[in-house]
Amino acid sequence: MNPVRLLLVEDNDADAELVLDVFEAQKIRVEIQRAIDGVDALEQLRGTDETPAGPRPDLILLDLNLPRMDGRTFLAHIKQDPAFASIPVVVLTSSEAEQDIVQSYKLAAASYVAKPVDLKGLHRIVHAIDEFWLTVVRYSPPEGTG
Amino acid sequence: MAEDDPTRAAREGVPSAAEELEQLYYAVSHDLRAPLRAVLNFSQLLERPGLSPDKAAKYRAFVLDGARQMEAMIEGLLTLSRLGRDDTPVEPVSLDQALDQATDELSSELEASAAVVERAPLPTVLGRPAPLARLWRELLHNAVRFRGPRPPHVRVGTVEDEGRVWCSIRDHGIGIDPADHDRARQLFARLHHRSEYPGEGVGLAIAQRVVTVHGGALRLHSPPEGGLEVRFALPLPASQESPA
Repeated sequence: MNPVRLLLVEDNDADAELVLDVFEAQKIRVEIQRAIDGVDALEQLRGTDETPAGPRPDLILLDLNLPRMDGRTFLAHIKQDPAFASIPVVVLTSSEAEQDIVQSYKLAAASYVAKPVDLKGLHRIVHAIDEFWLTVVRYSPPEGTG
Repeated sequence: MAEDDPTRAAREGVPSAAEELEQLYYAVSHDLRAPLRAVLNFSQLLERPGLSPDKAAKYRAFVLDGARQMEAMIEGLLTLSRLGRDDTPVEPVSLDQALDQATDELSSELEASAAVVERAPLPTVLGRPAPLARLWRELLHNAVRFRGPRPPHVRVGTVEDEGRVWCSIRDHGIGIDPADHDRARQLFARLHHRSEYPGEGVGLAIAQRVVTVHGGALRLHSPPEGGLEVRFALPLPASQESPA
């Protein structure tokens, strides 16, 4: 079975490194691509005139507060795009503001997870993502296939 | 000093005290956590046995960057807090002199970027000298920092809008998308990546705060030909107020 493909949309290099480190430390079989903001993520998904689209991710881990295009706008874009609407998006953000939680679910996020401050908390979250999203869940094939 | 016309205040995007508090809470709870997370976690990871020298150097850099970011953010918070607590009496302040002070303080930055600052005479307003010089410093610093490929050309003057005199500072830099105007004024808001435009997103929030505590209004304009124009109106001394 091919490893699950994950797109990590995160502008903060330190946070991205932490997530990658924890996935690696837990020896989770996953292919991770990173996008640094919503614009970059859309370009990786759809491709541009200069670069072809990247491989379609099975799951997206999305930060909300991003430069150029924030996570909310990105979420709205992909959920309106039939080619990518079925990809589950797990919001992974420092914000615990109610308005962000409500808005993310309205925009069809699959789940909303607050980034913990400590490493132990991040290990717990990545373990839970592995157990559920990378092990239990069956993903929809892209529209028009299967 | 508070904005005395709540209807006009709301129309001009002047945040209420409750909105300001909400923004502050959001900024502290969300934005300060990111560098804190880096400092805490990479300090811990540096203890990991067998860490390669490359990774150790990378992790040490994350710890240092995080600490520096926190320092700058806390400094920004303190500035905002001081501006809110300043109860020294207001007095007539020449905005020309306030701008002179700001250009003096930024002289090396202006020189290094070969910036040209074109100035028209500015009014005297009712306010406090130090925060008003700070207001110019933040706006001028942004005009230089967010420049395009050419050296910055900044025009400072006044414009009349809806029967009021507004001070205007206009640049030909990278500008701000009108959709991001509200976001740009929020504390710690970053519209660009740190690697492209370093900084913690406090300048415009401080400028906004100075104007708000003086009972004024601040607007952003994105001219079709590019760049950014920041306009602000401040109370005038009684002798200069135009009859209603």
